[in-house]
Amino acid sequence: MLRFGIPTIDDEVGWIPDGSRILISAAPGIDLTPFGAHIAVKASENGMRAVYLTNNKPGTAVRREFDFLGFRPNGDFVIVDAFSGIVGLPSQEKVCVGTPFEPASVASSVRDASDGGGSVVIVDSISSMIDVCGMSPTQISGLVKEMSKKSTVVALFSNWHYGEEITQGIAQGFDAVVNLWNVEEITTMKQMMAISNVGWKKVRQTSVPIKVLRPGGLRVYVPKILVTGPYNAGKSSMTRAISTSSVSVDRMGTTVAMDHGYLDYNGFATEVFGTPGQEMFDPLLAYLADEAVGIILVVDSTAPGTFPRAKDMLARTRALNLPLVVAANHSDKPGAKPVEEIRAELALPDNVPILRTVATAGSGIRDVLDKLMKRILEVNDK
Amino acid sequence: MTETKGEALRNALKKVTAVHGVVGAAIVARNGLLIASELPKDVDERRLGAMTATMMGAVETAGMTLNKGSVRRVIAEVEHSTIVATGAGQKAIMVCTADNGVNLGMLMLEMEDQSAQVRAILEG
Repeated sequence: MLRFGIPTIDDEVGWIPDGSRILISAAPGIDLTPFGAHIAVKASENGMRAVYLTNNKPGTAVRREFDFLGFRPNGDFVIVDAFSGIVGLPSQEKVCVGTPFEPASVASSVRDASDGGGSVVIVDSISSMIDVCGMSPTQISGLVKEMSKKSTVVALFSNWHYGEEITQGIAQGFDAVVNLWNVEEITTMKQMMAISNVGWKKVRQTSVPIKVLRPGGLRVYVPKILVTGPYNAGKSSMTRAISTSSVSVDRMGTTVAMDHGYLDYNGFATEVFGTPGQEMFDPLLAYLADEAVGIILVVDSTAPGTFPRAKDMLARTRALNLPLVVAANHSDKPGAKPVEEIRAELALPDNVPILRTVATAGSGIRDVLDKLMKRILEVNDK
Repeated sequence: MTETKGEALRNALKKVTAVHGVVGAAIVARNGLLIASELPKDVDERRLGAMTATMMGAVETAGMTLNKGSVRRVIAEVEHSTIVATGAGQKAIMVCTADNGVNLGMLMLEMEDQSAQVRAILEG
């Protein structure tokens, strides 16, 4: 069976029953190839054969996209070339559709390629079937149904303002529809993904921001996580410990501008911004905290004298309105205060997790990330 | 079809990168998140964006501390490049990296024009 491999969507949808028909429908301008490639990789990770039917670009272009994303499909992977037949060029692929304009010809090539069952057919794309091959929604539904007899079908559809009738007609041939659209606010531009009309399971309407990492593939996109806290609490070590790669602007061992890191964790991609701790840098805090979606407050658990400053920083970064996790750092040192004492000193509500960490040794870090991501998603849901 | 905001912003950036000697340009939110970029592939654009915002924030604060008004632009000369950053409205910054021999006058004129354009696109 197949899974989308995208957190929160997976939680809702679970495993996709074999033989399901899924439509990925995107607003114009969203490149769907990475989504197709992502599904192919998930198929091969789950021991299924991936059959990539392409009618809008040559097989080499599909392979190049795989390279960009750093994907090496290890299991069975077949490209079914319906493009060469359209443009009248000789095909470089082993499987080539004789007459791409005829549903029966497409179905028969796909059947050959997915022989033996247990496969996922990725159709790239439905739009070209309409625009270039002149197929009707009924013909396309019939073709998809035919393919789904032996395989799970995931079809890519750029919705170029086809009008209600065609869009509805296409969607009716599928068990589930995944919608992708662009969100353009003043300073954030992102893609959102939502799944609806799931035939095999009742799901809640959830939408998640999505980002394509090159390399890496599809991730849930969390724009900014802020790491803040008093001087010498271990913020830079924390940023370093949670990031996949990071840099620090530091002089004489303390951060003077910011730390910046990338985090790629459990299907989430985010940028980590670490603030300086010393009060003289406070004017920068407002810039760095703006539009953060989650905050990690790092405190030195052996230094209760710094807790008032930590409280002050929470106020400056407006942290109490955001998903917040407190890392009680240096927790291995003698004199480390117990968690409940820290909670009382910082006047934190019970629902804010306080976790013991040793950032320099990387201990407790996964806990911090898990708790923070969970809280960010809870907020997202509301 | 009308162009999306992202395309409009990239078109403004392309006008800046068309200046002789310019290597790349980007638009960054004042909070450090990247909005649009026309930087070479080997440049870590998000990191450059975050640092640009910090740089502008620091100079803004320095200007305020001196009581000498707001920032017009920041020009930084590093060993093998010149970095120019200028505000593009309340929310964004335009940053550009160029060869050290770049015609700064020409570049600043183009950045002024295009940052006004960017402001109109973003705040429109």
